[in-house]
Parts: sequence; structure tokens; C-alpha cells
Amino acid sequence: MNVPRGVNVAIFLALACSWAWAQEAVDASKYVSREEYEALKKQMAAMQAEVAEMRKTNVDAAVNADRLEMVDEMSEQIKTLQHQTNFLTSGATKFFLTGDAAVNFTSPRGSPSTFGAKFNPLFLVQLDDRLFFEGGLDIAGSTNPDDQSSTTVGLTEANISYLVNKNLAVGGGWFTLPFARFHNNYDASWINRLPDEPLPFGDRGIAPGNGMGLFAEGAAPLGRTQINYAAYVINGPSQITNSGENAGTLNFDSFDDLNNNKAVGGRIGWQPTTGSEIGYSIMGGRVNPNGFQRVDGVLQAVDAQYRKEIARLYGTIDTRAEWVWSNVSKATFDPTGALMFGPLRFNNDRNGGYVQVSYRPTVLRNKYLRNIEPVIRYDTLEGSSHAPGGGDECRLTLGLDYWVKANAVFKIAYECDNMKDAPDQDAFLAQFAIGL
Amino acid sequence: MRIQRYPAIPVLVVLVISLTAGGVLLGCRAAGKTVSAGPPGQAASTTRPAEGPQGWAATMGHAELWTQTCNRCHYAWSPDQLSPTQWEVVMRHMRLRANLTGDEQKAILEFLQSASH
Repeated sequence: MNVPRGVNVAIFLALACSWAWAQEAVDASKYVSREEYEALKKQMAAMQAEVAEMRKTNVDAAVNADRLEMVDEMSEQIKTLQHQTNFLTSGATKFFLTGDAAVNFTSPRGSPSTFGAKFNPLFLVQLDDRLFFEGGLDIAGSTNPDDQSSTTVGLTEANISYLVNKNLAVGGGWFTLPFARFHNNYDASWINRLPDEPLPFGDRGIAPGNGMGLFAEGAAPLGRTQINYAAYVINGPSQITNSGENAGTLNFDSFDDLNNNKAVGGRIGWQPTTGSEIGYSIMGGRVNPNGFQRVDGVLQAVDAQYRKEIARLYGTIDTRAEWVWSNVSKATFDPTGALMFGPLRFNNDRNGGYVQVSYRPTVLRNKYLRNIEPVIRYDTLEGSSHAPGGGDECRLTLGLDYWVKANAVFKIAYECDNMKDAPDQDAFLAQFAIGL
Repeated sequence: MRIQRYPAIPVLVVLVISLTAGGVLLGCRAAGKTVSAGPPGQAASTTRPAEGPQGWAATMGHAELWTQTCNRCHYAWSPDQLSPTQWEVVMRHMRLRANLTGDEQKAILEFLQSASH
């Protein structure tokens, strides 16, 4: 395409003029005057101050909003806690219902096997820092050979105690006697390592469980060790005199004093370490009912415990042993023969005890193995074979516990029994027990 | 051992009185002496602040004392099994049942309540 020469020149000139104009415009906007600069600087400072103020205001408002929200939440929580606290304390008194329960299975050799259950509620009421009440019941059901079912309710605790100081408490009522340690410390089904009690503390037992009267007890440091002490005066046990089946035995569940003669007793214990203790208990008094010849009784017991975690055994050993002596003076029961079992006179001294060892691999990593606890116990009860309900008996019991948690345990045991004057009563026992 | 005429009975009475008096004396020594006035504007205090804890409550940590003491008879319950108020009542019950001193009761309760919730 041919373009005329004049047009080319014109285009060139136009481009040159526009470039020169643009250059001049850029150069003009490149610089500001001093006045413009100072004005801009002031404006910038004012804007910065304004933005900072706005930011500060916004932050304060957000913080205040958060704080108000937290205060509202805390107020609600405090109201809820106050409500719960008021419900729990109901004034200045604090109440707590606890206790234990157990389901049993017993299969004695030569007798029908049977299930059973029991429930022992314990009512605790703290009236203030010093005054305290505890009441307990023993509730169980049974069916006798005549197919008559019944529910038995027994009173196990009903006492008030008062803290004199940090080493002494006094009280009175129906309380667990500090005689040996089984009834006081190991009797609850979720604490006892085996499904049944040792012979001296069982149904034919010779150790008193409860008493109605007054007590004083406490504990105090003794160097690097500790001692504990207890003393009491109670209505005392009464001797059974009018039954041919158990004449001469002591009834420890007597609520009333049948001879206007109180029994006194006490226990002193020494704890060389927190896991060990030895103790001596004694109780004495007149035990004959009114109208019967004088009969005196003295009961004594020694107890020992040793518990220690032994690293070499990967677990904890717990050893408990107790021995009880029951010395009751001689008497003649049914001297005229009117009750159809006398005259009956016999040596009424009895004694018995037990040794129990259990091991739990508490430091093993496997939680199932860690919850298993084998137990072995030897217990014996000795008495005159001429006495009703007397005669020697000893047992060897092997048990295995599985601890579901600290207050829930499943136990199985096999008991080898040896009775001197009656058929042996070997038995398989199982029990699931919980502390409430 | 058989005792026909019981010289043990008076001995037991003496034992009861001695133990009670001994406990009172031990406790009174630990509780401090009586003072006459309290701070201005407040009711007069009847006793000085009690001495610090004694025995194992002073030499052992509270958590260790808790496990060692409870495990003597039964496995120790986890602190969160009961509320702080419930622990207060239970520890008052255990004070007599487990032959605890007041210092031990207080130390174990402090641990249980702090770890309860």
C-alpha cells in the first residue's frame, strides 16, 4: 500500500507532540509543594489518631461484651451450685446414705444350693463439726424348711458421737464394739475378701459385735508410730440359760441389761507403720440373767495386720490374723430338769481365730490381671464338746476375687470344713458385693 | 485362762478412765492455750490457732496418706466417686471407724475434696 509522504510526516509530528505533552504532565505530578506536604502530613496524623481511637473503642466494647457474658455465665453457675449445696446440706446438717449390698450363692455338700441377698443401709448425719449420728440396718430374706419366707431387719448401728478434740471422741448408743478388728473394719461384704466370716466372728462366733452403752475412743501419734485406744461400758452380753440347743453361749445382741450389771472393755492398738497394726482387746462383766446363778465372763483378743506392696512380687500382700478367748465361769443349766435338757454342767471356755493372706498384683500393667486377688484363710473354733453348740471346727478356704472397681468385687471360694462332732460342711461359695 | 472371781473388772474400770483421761490430755495439749481477746471489731477468739498437724499427717503427703490409710482395710475409692460434701460426712464416719487422728481426717479430706471435682 502506498502512503503519501505528507501523511507520514504528519503522523510523525502528531506522535512526537503527544509524547512531549505526556512527559510534561508526568513531570508536573512528580513533586508537591511544601505547603501541600505539610497539609497532607497533618491530615495523615489526624486520620491515624482517628483510626486508633476507633480501634480502641471497638476493642473495649468487645472485651466488655465478653466480660458481661462471662459474668452472666458465672452467676448462673453460682446459682446452680447454691441450689445444689442447699439441697445437700439442708440447713447446717449434712446427710449421706451409704452402706453395702451383696448377692450370694452357697452350695454346701449334702445340702441344697441356694441364692441369697442382703442389703445394709448406713445413714450418716453430720449435725455440725463435732456432732455426728450414724444408723445402720441389716436387711435380708430367708426361707425356713417349712417353706415360710421372711425378711429380717436388724439394727446394726444407732449411735451419736461427739469430737472432744483431735485425739478423742465420745459417744453412746448401739455401736460396733472395738473388740478385735473384724466386726469393726473387715465385716462389710465389699471389704471382706471372702464370701463368709471367720468362725469366731460368724453365727457361732465368740467375739461380740455390737453393744449398747457409752464409748470413748481416739488415736494419737507416738514418735514415728501411732496408737489408737478405745474404752466402753455397755449393757453387756447375756448368757442363754433356758435352751438346750445353745445353753451357755453368750447373746451379744441383747439391747437391754438383764442383770443390772454392766460390762466394761477396751482395745489398744499400735501402728508401727500405716500398713501394719497389732492390738489387744478385753471385755468383762457378769453375764447371767436375773434369777440365775452368778456367771462371769471375760473375753480377750489379739489382732495383727501387715500390708505391704512388694516390688519383687509385682503386687501387694495383705495378712490379717486374730485370736479370741472366751472364758465364762461354769454353771449348772436346768438344774431340776424342768426344761428337759438338764441338769447340764460343762467347761465353758472357748477360743478361736483365723489367719488370712491375700495377694493382688497391683503393679502389673495388665488391668485384668491387676484386678485379680487370690485369698487363703485358715480359721478355727474350739470349745467343749459337752457344751451345746460346742465342739471343735476348723476350715481351710481358698478364694479368688475379681475387683470390678474399688467398691465392687466378685468372689468365689471353696471351703474345706472339718468338724469334730458333726458332719463336715464343705461348701462352694460365690458372692458379688458392692459398697454403696 | 479362766478367772472365777474377777479382779479384772476393777482393772478394766481403771483402764477405761485412764484411756479417756489420756485422750483428753493429748487433745488439749494439741489444741493450744486460751487467750482473752481477738482482733478489733471481731468476736474474741477463745483459743489460739491450733498447732500444725502432727504424726503421719505432718510427715506424709495428703495423697499418700489417703491411699495408705484407706487401703489398710479396703481399696481406696476414687475421689470423684463422691462430692466434696459427701466426702466430708464419710471422713467424719471414718474418723472413728478407722481410728484416725483429727489431723489425718483433715488432711485426707482436703485431698479428697480438692481432687473430687
